[in-house]
Formats: sequence, structure tokens, C-alpha cells
Amino acid sequence: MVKVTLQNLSKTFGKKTVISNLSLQVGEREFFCILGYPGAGKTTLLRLIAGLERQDKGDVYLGDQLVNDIHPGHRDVAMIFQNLALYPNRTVFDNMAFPLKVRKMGRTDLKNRVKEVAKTLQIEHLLDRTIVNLSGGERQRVAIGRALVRRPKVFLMDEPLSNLDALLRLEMRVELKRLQRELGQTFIYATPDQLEAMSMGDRIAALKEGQLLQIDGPEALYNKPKNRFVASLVGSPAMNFVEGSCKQVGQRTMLDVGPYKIDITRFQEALQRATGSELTLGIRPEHIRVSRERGRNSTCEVVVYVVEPLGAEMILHLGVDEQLVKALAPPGFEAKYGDRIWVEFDPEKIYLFDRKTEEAIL
Amino acid sequence: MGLRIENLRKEFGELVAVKDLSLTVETGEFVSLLGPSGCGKSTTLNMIAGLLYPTSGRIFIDDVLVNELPPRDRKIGLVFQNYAVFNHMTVYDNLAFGLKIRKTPSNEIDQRVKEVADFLRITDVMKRRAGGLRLDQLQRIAIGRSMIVRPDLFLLDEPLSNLDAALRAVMRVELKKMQKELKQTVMYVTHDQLEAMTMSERIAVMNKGELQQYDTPTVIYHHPKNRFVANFIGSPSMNFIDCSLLEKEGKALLDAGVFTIDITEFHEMIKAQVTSSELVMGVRPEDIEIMNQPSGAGSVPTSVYLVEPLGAKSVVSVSIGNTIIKALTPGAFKAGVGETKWIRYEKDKIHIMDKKTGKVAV
Repeated sequence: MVKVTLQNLSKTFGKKTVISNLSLQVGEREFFCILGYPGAGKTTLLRLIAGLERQDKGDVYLGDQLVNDIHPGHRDVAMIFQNLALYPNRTVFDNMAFPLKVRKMGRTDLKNRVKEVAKTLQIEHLLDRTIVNLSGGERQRVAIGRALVRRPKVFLMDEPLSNLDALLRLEMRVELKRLQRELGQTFIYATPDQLEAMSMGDRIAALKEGQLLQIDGPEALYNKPKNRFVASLVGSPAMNFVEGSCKQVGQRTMLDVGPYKIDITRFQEALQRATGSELTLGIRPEHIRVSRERGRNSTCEVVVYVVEPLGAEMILHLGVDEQLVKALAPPGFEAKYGDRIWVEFDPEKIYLFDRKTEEAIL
Repeated sequence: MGLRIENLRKEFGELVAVKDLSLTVETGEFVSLLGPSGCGKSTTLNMIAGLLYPTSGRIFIDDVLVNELPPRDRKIGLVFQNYAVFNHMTVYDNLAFGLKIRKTPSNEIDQRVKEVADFLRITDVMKRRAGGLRLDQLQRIAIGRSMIVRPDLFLLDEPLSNLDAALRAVMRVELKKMQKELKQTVMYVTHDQLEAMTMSERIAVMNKGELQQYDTPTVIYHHPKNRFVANFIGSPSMNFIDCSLLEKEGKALLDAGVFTIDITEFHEMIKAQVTSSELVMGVRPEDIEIMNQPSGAGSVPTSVYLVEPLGAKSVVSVSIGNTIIKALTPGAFKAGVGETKWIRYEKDKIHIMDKKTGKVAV
């Protein structure tokens, strides 16, 4: 359980820059998530920490030790992959004992170590079972157990839940976070799924094309995204973006987005940060209210395209001019394809981005 | 009628993969077969497609008995998780393939390819070889290839499982929109309740080869017929608490050990449907209110087990004795592990089921 420090890390494959001058620090016992789309460089980052790839530039520290020149086998780092890589026809005990056998540990010590770890993971009763006879969740524990017997300094996990059924994934999320707390280990967890990152991470690093766009706790990432990319990455359904331009109308500053205008005079100070008058308005689906009738605060009339019931609520896909906007509606709301309904939104809950730089202004 | 299945059964040796399944799909309807791995949903789909021969039962597509027809004569389109796309061919040739082998005149091919490409938003990559495209583009091509021959019945087997979460959300809406506009009859196989809920007109929930419930998403969500369906639909899943039925001084009480609920009003209804006094109470996470102070008679003290922030909402797991209960609360939720909080729920929001049979009584 050490802290992990990356300083000015860069990695290219041929002409392609995969990690670009990246610095970050993961705290001791922290559950740290790396969130990004496929191809963002998540796996490469983990492999650089593990020593499976060699960086072109920059330093990797585990604790206070510079490990650039240390062989992966001697870094005391455990890596868990999507497919877990267990021996299916061997017992849980054999799977967990394997790394110790390779290290030629004595029989008694080995037995004690495996039992001790199995007890922590609550899989003692499974030690004699073969992997094929275990559930997905149990296999996950064995994979962690096999890493744990080596007493690693840090756990690197590369999308470990992607292969599981939706329902099991949900259960494993709680399990993993709980386990990390109990073990008091440093976890670095790469995932393309914002829900996993948000629900498990103490902090989350948003990665795009090898560049770090923001590191923050889940709430800050959701409430105060630093740029349009992070805003679109976090939250489900994703934030709506509408292009607009600033116009001075007498004393007021209005944002004109086509079908309607919003008074943004009160953000005057923040607007100084914009490079031009072209802005992007961001509104989260949960901050849009829909109604059958025109209300006092209604912003505009929209057409219902797709209705997605989720049970506890429903997602409406609405056409405004040529654009599609998503809104969350209460479960009883009646809407079908082609209906015309009204929307309004809370002016306090909007986001503004500079269209050119994509940086957040508010 | 788009599709009618009568007493369909498939045995593999001792194993009954599909057990006397009967259901109908209206023309233009979107129906999902939903269930965990191994529930028989893909086997069912493969029998409809003609890739597997049923042990017994009959299949009608557009009122024509197709049991003895080879797959190519069934007027179906098939899309699987792995994209059946020719990598060395251009997108255009991939789309045109089905029409070419049917010897469609080339000007008609041209027109239909353009129509489909436009619909699936792949017009800009028409001249590219399929091999170099993104996963979602490949899946669009696979869907386009099946769609272009205008099948009577469109069969899809987990077509979105290989895509990441964000793309899945986009493709879900596009598939649904396409189906609505073309009035295409669709049977869609998935293990993901979210996909089934958001896209289907009706959902057939399957488990161990048996149909559990066949209804609209709303009915399945609010009135599940048994514990399996209640557990499988909704995210996070419904909470289940073991209880026993106590009769005291003319009142009926549901005793969960740490708390009791007066259910006298449902007593007759429950008694008529259950096999013993061992019951299970089910409550959805969004129907549980979490409070800092006890309020009202129904408040139950709990200890915070885990908080998962999701941005717009938080999933809060609390423990009552050995039972973990999940509650969904709006916004961020601040509480340390082990802190005491109170929970409460409306009596009309609970589901009561028989512990042995799993059947929902109320």
C-alpha cells in the first residue's frame, strides 16, 4: 500500500503519442479510477506503472522509490485483467499458491499464506473447488487472492468487470470497493464505464487521447467539469450540448441558441474568460423538466422522438429544431413518438463552455 | 401476426434448454427476450432463425409455418454480437451484398444502399474498407446488411455487447428510432435489463428455459410476477428481506426480525396465495427514503455500509442486522461508513412474495 507518482510520463508507439506528458499522484490506500474511451491510453498507463512498457520520457515512483529501471517482476505490482487469467481446471488453492511456488516458497509458509489470504477474502470454503465450478464473483476474488498472496504494493486493474453480466457487475462493484477498503490497498482501476468510476473511485482521472483532462472526486467531476469532454463523459444519460452565441440586448447579455434565448447577464464576470462570443450551452437531462401544457417558465416546444422507460424514471429524446435533446421524466409521464410537449430548465443549473477551446467558463 | 411460437421445446441430451415456450409478436412490434446467460434466449432465437431444429413445437413467421424451411427462405435478418462484415470489402459492397446475390437491378441496389447508409449514418465511410472502421461503425454495417433486404422479421442477438457504455446508449436510441420509422418487427435477445426496458414494446423474461413473464416494460417493472423477475429488472436491484407472517389479535404482521409491518389490509389476499408463513418482502431502492432522524412510526434505524455517488443520484447501502439494503437518493449523500441513518418506505410500494415458490402475492 504505497503511493504512486507519475512525473511527465510520455509514451509513443511509432508516430502515435499514446501518453502525453502526464503527471499524477495516487495516494496510499486510495481507490483511483482512470476513466476514458477505448484508445484513450488507459491500459498503456497501467502497463507503464507495472513496467510492462518502457516510457519514452518521465519517471514512475512506487512510494519513494524510482522504479524506471526495475524489472516488472521486482516492482511488487499486481495486475488483474479483464479475463482474470485463472487456470480453469485447477483448484482455488493451486491457483492462489501458483505465484508463491514460482518464487520457491516453502510448503508450510505457502499453505499459511494462502489460507490467510483466503480468509480475508472469505473464500476459505472454496479452496478445494476448481475454478470452473465457481461463480463470476468468486472467480474475481480468487484472481485478487492470487495477486494478494504476493503482498503487492499496488493493485492495477484493467476493466476487470467488463466480461460479467449486467447484474453481476452491479454486485461486484460494491464488493470491490468494500474489499479495497478492508484490505487498505492502493487500487488503480481503468474503465470506460463512468458508472463504475463514479461509484467506486475516491478520485477519478479523465483521460482523452493520452492527456489528463481532470482529476477530481466523483462529485466535483459531475458538478464542476473543467471542459466539455469531461462534462460529456460523466453522468448518464449524458449532458446535452447546444451551440449558441452571446448577444448584447440593452443592458442584458443573452445567449441565443436558436429556438430560445437565455439571460446570462449574471455570469458577466465569468464570460470575460471566453475567447469569443460563440459558446456551448450544457444542460444535464435531469435538470430539464417536461410538461404536457405550456407553463409560466416554459422555454420551448419540442417533439418526442424516442421514449426509453427505465422503471424508476424515463429518458425522453426530444427534437428541438434540428437537434436532439435528452430529458429525464417521472415514470408516470405520458409521451409517445410524435407528441408535442413543453420543456423548461433551471437557469441555475446550466453549464457554459467556450466553443473554440471547449473549456468550462462557469 | 409477425411471429407466433407454439410450445417450442429444445433438448440437448438431458438438458432442457427451452421448455414449451409460447408467445406471439405483432407485426411492427419490438420484443426482447431477456434473461441471464444460459436461460435459453439465444437457443430460442436460433430456432426461429432456423439455425437449430426444435425438439417439438411450431414456429410461424407472418402466419407461415416455417419449421421445415431452411434459414434463407424464412425472410429474416440476423445480427449477432460479432459483426458479420467482410473486412476486405468496402462499406458499399458490404451493404449491397445481399441484394447482389438476389440479382436486384443495380440502380435499385444503389438507391437502397444510399437509403440504408443514410439511416445508419455511415454515408461518409461508404468507400472505405470495412476492416479499418470503429466497432460501432461495423455494427451499423452489420445491421444495414440485414436491413437492406427488408426482412419480415429482424432477429438481433446481443448486438450491442461489444460496444462501450456510451456508444451502447447512442446505438440503443438509433436502433429504436429506426425500428419505429420502418415499423420493423424485431426480436431482440439481451441479458441487459436496461436495453430491454428502453427499447421494447414487450419483454419476455426467461430463466432456465422457462418464460417467467411476458408484458410491457412498465407492467414488468411495477408488477413483477415472481422474485426472479423482480430481481432481474431495475438497477440497482430490488431489496429482498426474509419475513414471516404473524397473526396477532386480529392483525396481520410481517415480521423481519428487526422490524415489523402491519399488513392487515393485504392479509386475505396474501393468505389465499402463499404456501406457508415464510414470506419475502421486496422494496425497490428508489422507494426507500433515507433520513438523518427517525420520523414517523415506520422508521427503522440502520448503519451506513457503503455510499456510491452516481452524479445525479447516490446509491446508499445500509445494513440492518445481517441484511444489506440499497436506497437511491437524489444528489450527493454525505455519510461515513458505520454512521446511523433511518429508513422509511410507503406500505403500498412493497411487494410480498412466497419464500418457497417466489410467487408475488401483493
